[in-house]
Amino acid sequence: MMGWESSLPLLLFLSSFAPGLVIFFLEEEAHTTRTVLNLFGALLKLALLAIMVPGLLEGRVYETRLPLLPEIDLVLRADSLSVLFIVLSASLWLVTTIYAIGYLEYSPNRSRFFGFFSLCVSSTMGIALAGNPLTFLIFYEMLTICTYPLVVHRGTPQAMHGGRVYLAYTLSGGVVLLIGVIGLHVLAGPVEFVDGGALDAVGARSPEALRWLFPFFMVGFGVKAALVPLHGWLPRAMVAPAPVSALLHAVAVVKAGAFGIVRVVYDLYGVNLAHELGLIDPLLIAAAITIIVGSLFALNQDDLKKRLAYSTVSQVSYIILGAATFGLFGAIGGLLHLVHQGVMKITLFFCAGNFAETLGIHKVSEMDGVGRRMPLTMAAFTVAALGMIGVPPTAGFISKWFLGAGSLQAENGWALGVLLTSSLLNAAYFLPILYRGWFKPQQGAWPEEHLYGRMETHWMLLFPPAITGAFVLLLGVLANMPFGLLRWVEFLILLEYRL
Amino acid sequence: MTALAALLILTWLYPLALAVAYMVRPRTSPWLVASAAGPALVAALATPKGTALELPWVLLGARYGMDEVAQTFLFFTALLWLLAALFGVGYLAKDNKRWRYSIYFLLAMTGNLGLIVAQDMGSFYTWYALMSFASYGLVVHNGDEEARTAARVYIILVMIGEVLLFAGLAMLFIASNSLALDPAADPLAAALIFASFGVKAGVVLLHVWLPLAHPAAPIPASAVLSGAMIKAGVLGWLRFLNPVGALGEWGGFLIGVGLVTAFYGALIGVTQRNAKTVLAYSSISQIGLITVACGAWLLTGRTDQAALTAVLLYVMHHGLAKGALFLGVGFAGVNRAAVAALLLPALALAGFPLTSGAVAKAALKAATATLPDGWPALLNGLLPLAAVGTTLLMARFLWLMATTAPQAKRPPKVMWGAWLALLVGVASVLFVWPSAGSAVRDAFKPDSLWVATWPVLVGALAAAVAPWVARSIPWSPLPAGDALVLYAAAAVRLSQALRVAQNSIEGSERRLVAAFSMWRRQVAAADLAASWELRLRSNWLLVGGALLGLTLALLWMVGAAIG
Repeated sequence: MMGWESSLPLLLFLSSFAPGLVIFFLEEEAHTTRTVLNLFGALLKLALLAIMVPGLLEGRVYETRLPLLPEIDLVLRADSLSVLFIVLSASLWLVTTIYAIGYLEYSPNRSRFFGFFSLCVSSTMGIALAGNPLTFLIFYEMLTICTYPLVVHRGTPQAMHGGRVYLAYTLSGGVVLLIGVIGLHVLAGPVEFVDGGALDAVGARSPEALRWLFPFFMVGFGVKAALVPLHGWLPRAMVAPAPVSALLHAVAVVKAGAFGIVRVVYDLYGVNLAHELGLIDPLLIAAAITIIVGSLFALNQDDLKKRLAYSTVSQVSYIILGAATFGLFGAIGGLLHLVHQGVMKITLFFCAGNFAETLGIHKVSEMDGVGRRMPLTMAAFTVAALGMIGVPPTAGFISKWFLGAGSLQAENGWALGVLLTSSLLNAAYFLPILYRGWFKPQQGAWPEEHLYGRMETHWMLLFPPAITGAFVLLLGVLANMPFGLLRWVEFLILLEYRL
Repeated sequence: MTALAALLILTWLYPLALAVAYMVRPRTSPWLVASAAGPALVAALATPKGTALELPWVLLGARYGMDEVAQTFLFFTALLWLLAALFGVGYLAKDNKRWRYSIYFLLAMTGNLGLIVAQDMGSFYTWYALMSFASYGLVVHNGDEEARTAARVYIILVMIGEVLLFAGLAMLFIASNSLALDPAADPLAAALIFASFGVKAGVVLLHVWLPLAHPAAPIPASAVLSGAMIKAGVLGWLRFLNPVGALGEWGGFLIGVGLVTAFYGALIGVTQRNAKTVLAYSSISQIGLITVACGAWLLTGRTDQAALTAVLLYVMHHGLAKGALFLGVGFAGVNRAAVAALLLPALALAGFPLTSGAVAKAALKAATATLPDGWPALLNGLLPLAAVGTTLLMARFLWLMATTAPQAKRPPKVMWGAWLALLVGVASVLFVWPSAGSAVRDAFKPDSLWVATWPVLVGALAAAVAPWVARSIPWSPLPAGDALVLYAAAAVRLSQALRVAQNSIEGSERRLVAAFSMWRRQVAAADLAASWELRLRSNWLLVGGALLGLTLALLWMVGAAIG
């Protein structure tokens, strides 16, 4: 391999890390420089990906390896699973950056915000690229730290409280994960993530120890993935500004937890070994409980963002349910949902932010008639909400289809029942919002209205949900496209199942 | 060939494009709506059976095609949508929500036409969902209390149907490992599919949304809801249930359910006081008869084409006649001649000789004649009684129409045109439809003339004495939706229980967090070291035990690693 190619993963990390560091030292008023830096980083990242993807399709592996501890290197490696996550986060980061500029560019402490915003994405890159458990852990903790200032950005007592709860939950989770990583090192020595699993030999030697270690990983990641009952931080963290919530729920924190679980099941233990050891069935049950409980909690929330937060609790566990379902269809469904949930949820949060910024609407009960005032935003919201329910032809339908078929394939018919109950509950808390928005007449004046000329809101707030909303449809309607996401995920799952 | 295949795509693409045009440009001419079903109508007449087209990129691989079932369904569905759209141009001319209505109308039409030509599960399910969800906009249109309640019940039943269908289709997919329209062989999958489409069709106990939703919608929307859209449920049965083989015994079940539905609809319907509600119950009753035909189709299966023909002729006959009856409600209290003209579709529904109903009934009779065991005798006894019930329902409907208070409004000409065209369709289509030939001949045989006549006479007689009977016994009408009352009570109980459970869980979590932050504040307030020491000492048993446990666990893990 040529030398410059081995630096590509590192560059991928640095493309947001370096701008982030520079942004900290910018004047508050340096709008242009900050915007240029932000967008430059986001676009550079996509350009780097464009270089790497053809190589990956040819079977090349891009790897940066730096010495860290005796025996253990800091490994950044782009394999097919990490690229899936990187493509998702890099693209959504670009739209979220645009959105955040529109949302926050005229409020205080912008340099602090955008600096940590970039670091947050850098840590996500690190998590995606991490080639061994220790590297993963380092970036996982970095993500926890970088996100805190974003959650408490507003500085209100409520925000500070949300931030404290967030830290208490995630740092505790980190400690549990640390125990898992150390335990694994003691047990197996230096291990790296490998397609199909890296612990076959250890599994043959000491299966009991591996069984005991598994819950440490699951709890460690389960906190961020908001597995019930470790989900308490998520609804409180929704006090963060909308772009942060969007990133938190779709790409960064929650997704990092889910991605960690997928990594451990597929590339550390290997799904075949995890299945043999009987580890994935308890995980499946945890995911099923989370799916139902999250949806139940969402039912009675009047605060729009809180309702969306509980919906995230439920939806992220679709990914885990897929990873814990033994069989190709379920696995495909889980990984598809990793991407689909991100695109759908980010759309919903963008829209919630638009309602708040433009009309001062924070509650579901204030949304009467909003479809007439902000038709494009409401349309994007509608598409994404229907996607969450799993209505065809949205992206959500495609992943639900594979998850449902996978449940039957693995002879877990009850898991299909869980998915469908969740669909009914999703309908019960999303459809009333759509009804208010489209069919109810407006009640009195909006709580706090801002006018933006002929557009329904600022264009930088309008384009991001319009684009991601269109993708919710496209990912479903053209699911079977050559070189599409489905093809990529199928290719990946065959690797993981060693078929 | 390719041009004809493209016509299959235009069937749904054209109304979809129009819907988008209306969304983007509200001032698009309202007359364009009336053209939306045009390509579908042409496709039904011009596309030969066996035409097929693949769109491999779309969804999970889409396939469209034309077969005998699709041809019949597409023809009457497209015709009804086209005339209802035309009627709507006049009916909603002064409605300030017409723009919104047009969009939902076009979307529902797109779904209904698309699902007929779809030949794979993904496309079928997609169009079916679009039709179901878009119709919500039609049901809720009027915006009054009645429409809102109806729409709420409607969307809940739609969701339940969707979920059942999803489960059924997923089971089919796993069983056959393909998305082709392969019928179910597994009993559970068949039960799910029967129930999910049963919700749409309005089979007894699953019908509760129908008597609320059909009357609540504006008249042209009621016509397509009752005439065309509930037939999508029947189409679903035809596509996904398996004639012969594993599901043979299901035929008897369907016949039983169908008979109950037929009589139940008639019984509840005659007590109703709203003309459109009476029509809605009549639809339930007629769907019962179509379900009987479907049961016969399951029993006789592929060996006998007669049963499939009976189903197809029956849905076409009912679609057109019920559409004409609903559109006729638009002339209530306006024109006596119009009410008199409603006799034609009303008699057709009752199966009076020389009407489309007589042809459909003859086809049904031919289909049931070859059934095994005692089925023919039982059905020959019961089906005429169902016709008596239908006659009573129609008498009730015509009575309510005739006694509507006179109104000053003058319906626009386009409404008249659309309605008269549909009446012509009712009078003619079944007599010229190619596959109806033998049924038409059967219908004109002398003995079938009498079989078709006497139930109507008995029904008319019963209707004549009905007012006297109604006065002499104490009774009160059941609310529209009947069994819904029971479901609603159960749902309220369930949601109360859920709320209690949720509050207790949320409360304990909140207390936990509050306790944690209280503890944290106390730690911050007290001298940290002293506080920790105090705590450790007072809880030494717990802390020591935990530490000991952790150490042992680690030791054991290391031991396991070495050993």
